[in-house]
Amino acid sequence: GVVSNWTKIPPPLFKKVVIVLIDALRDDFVFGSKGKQFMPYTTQVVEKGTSYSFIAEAKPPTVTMPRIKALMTGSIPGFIDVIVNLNSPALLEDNLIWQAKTAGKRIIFYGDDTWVKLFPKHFVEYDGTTSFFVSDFTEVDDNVTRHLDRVLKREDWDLLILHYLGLDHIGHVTGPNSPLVGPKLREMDNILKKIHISLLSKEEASLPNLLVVCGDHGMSETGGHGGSSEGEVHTPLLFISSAFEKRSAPLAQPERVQQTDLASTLAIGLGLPISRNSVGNLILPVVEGKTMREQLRFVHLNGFQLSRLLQENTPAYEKDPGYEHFKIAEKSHGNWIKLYLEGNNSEILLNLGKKVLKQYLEALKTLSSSLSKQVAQYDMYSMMVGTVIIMEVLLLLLLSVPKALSKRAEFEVPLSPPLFSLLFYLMCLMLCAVHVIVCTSAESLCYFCSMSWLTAVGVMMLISALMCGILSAIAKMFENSRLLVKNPVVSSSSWSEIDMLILAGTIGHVLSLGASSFVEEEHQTWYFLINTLCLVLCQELCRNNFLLKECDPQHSTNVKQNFDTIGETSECENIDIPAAGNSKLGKATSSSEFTKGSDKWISLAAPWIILICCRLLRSLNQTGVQWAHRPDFGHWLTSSEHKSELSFLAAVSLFMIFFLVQRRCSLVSKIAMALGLLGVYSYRAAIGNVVFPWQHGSKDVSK
Amino acid sequence: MREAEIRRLLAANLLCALAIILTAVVPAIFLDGFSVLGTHLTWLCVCSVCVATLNVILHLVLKANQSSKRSSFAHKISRFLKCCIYFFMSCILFHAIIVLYGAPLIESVTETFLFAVLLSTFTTLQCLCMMGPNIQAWIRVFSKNGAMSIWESSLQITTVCSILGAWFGAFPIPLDWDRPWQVWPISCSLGATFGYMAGLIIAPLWIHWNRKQLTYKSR
Repeated sequence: GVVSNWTKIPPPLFKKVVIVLIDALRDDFVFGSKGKQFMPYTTQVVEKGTSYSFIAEAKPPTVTMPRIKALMTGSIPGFIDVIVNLNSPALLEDNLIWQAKTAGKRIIFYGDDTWVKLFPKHFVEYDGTTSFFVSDFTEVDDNVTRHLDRVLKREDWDLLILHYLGLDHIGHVTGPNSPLVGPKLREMDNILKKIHISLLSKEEASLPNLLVVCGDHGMSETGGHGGSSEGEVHTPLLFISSAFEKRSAPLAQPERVQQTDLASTLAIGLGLPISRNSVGNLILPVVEGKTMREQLRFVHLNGFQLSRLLQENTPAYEKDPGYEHFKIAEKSHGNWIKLYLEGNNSEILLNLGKKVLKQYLEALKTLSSSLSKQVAQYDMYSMMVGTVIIMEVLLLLLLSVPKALSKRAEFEVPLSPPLFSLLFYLMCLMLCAVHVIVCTSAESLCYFCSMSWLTAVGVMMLISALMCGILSAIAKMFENSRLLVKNPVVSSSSWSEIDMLILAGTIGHVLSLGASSFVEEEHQTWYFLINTLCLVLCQELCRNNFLLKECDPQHSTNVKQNFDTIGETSECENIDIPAAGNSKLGKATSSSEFTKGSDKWISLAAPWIILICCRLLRSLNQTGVQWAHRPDFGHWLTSSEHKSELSFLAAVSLFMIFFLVQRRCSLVSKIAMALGLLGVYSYRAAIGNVVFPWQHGSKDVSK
Repeated sequence: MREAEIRRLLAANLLCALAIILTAVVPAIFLDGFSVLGTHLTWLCVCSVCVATLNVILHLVLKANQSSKRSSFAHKISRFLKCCIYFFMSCILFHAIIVLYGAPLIESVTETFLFAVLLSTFTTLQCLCMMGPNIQAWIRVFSKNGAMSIWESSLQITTVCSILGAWFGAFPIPLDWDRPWQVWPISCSLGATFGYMAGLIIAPLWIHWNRKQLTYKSR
């Protein structure tokens, strides 16, 4: 249709942009009760100021590095990025930072050093803070804030990115309902106030500045993240700028957008081309200050980028409903431009323009969703190879388990016979042939094919060797069982009740891991099984002890006759009979009866003591997901009013450790251990968890 | 003789099972808003009382048939008091075991205690009725091959089944289905009840099945 004579990238809408990314900022920390209580400035800006607020939905995995990639490229990284999360190499895809640097913008970054690894040469100035020390809530943010005053006064930057990790660390260690979240939110609010006031004061009349506040992911109920629960995927997204109109009506409920929409919105805001792989839509309210012609141009740019991405990824792109809507909207846009150029500047034109905008927005939404659906492409060949290796190793372990758990405890994998057999070489050849066929005909990128030929051959040899090992182990098992059938002399050990219970309990525990509730509450399974085991043990002890009482006279004569075989039989006979001659036997039996009495009571009481300790453990620390918030003994001890009880308990425990271990140590080890334990207590006292007895009240020892 | 006794056992067990079913249905007529899940504690009381009285009556009737030696009134009273004390102690013991299994110590004491009472009616009361307050006899019955009559075999089976039922009834507690029967102690007490009823029905059938191998030597 008609093509407008605007072909260049539109000019930027904002002069300076500050992005404040607060890690693990959940939407209710800003919009909910916590936000209203601890972030007063932000709440005031959101409700009455010149801002637009949204709830951005992140896609799983809600871990920092994939989310940063999503925010900056607008594409949806997959789960494989979690594995690479620890050692992220540079981001090679088209992204906002690269586009900004190419266009000559000066970018300054302070915060999580993941950014520095992803964008190694893009920042004019940067200071990365490490994200590994999860127990540090203050220094990791102070290291970012210390640069803030200086950099806000300078004029030599266009894009400032700040990434605060403190809230994430607090969530991981103490959870979202802890008392540490409030002060941290207040700290973030003060920082936002400082930045906003500075941006307003330094604003020029030509172009306004923009402050973006967002989170990379939220926080689950227990404080972690990574999954797709409601709390983890919903983050706030605030745009604050004097270019926007003051909010007249109070904010009812922030609109929902996708996290990937930020990249395209910021690209248009900064006057940059939209990243190639972005699947996000332009967030329209951000550009509402512009004329209708410019707004239509922006959405057209976004739609054009999305349709080009669709063209590259889908052969049948023309049948896609989003593409068709986009073409229709484009035609209406052309008609609108014709009317506009004819000079009609009336109300009708404005309404028509709004209709075209709506058409465009719907087309964009449909295009985004059809693009998001095709992102997950799985590398089936590599996955199958990996699965085959794992299953083979598992099978080999299962076949060797009976021998490994028997009395002789041997674990033998017969490798030399297989390696010289014909089967091994045949399998190697066949697997290599399969590999060649798959790799030469693969259209999509395959990880296994990209490995060198030597490595691939090695992997094929491993698979064949494992398979031959499994076959020879199975053959040996059949041989053994046939031998057993021929010679019934070899008797298998009989299974007692406790053996059956342990076996059934282990199998039951493994099976229970199939249900997600049982995985979350796995500790309940463990406590339950241990309780049952202790009770069964108790029952067996009682039975042995009380039944043996009846045949006691027989037992003592047996002692006199079968002197040597006593040591190996049942538990009630935990007697120490010294290996002496018959002359001492009289004394031995009387002392054995004495020790038998007290030992018997100790062995009878032992399971009950274990049960009581387990029950105390249960109420010491509530874990899991369903009942994690119930008050427990641990909460009581670590709350600030009970520091003296905690100090006493800690001191007693450390002393008990020393007392129980010191018997077998030399003098030097004893002194070293004592100093070490003292150091542990002093460290905790320095942090403020426990107090020294001469410190009344809870004053921290000065740093 | 053996067949007749098995039939008597079957009748007694079926009567007990029927009584339990009636306790779930009949009180709804008399009390407003009664349901097994809704007013569970009431149902626990009603069930325990019914099962207890039925068992006591059954054993008085059956013991009256096998006339035992006459004992003095004081002896009878002391035996009765001893029975009550043993029953109460077994309730306390069950309560302690359930608390060790994870039931809350301070909250929900009534629920836990009533569940313990239910378990005791299913297990200890039977022992008390059959053998009196004689712990040595109990230990003898529960050891291997210790049963001396089909009633004692039936006792073994119903006790084990009701305890297993209570044990299996704890499985649905960690699931997050938010069902009304997952509230403590409904799933465990219902498990114990179903176990007991299953034991009542299985015991005569099992004894009938194995009547040739079961030889009760008298010690």
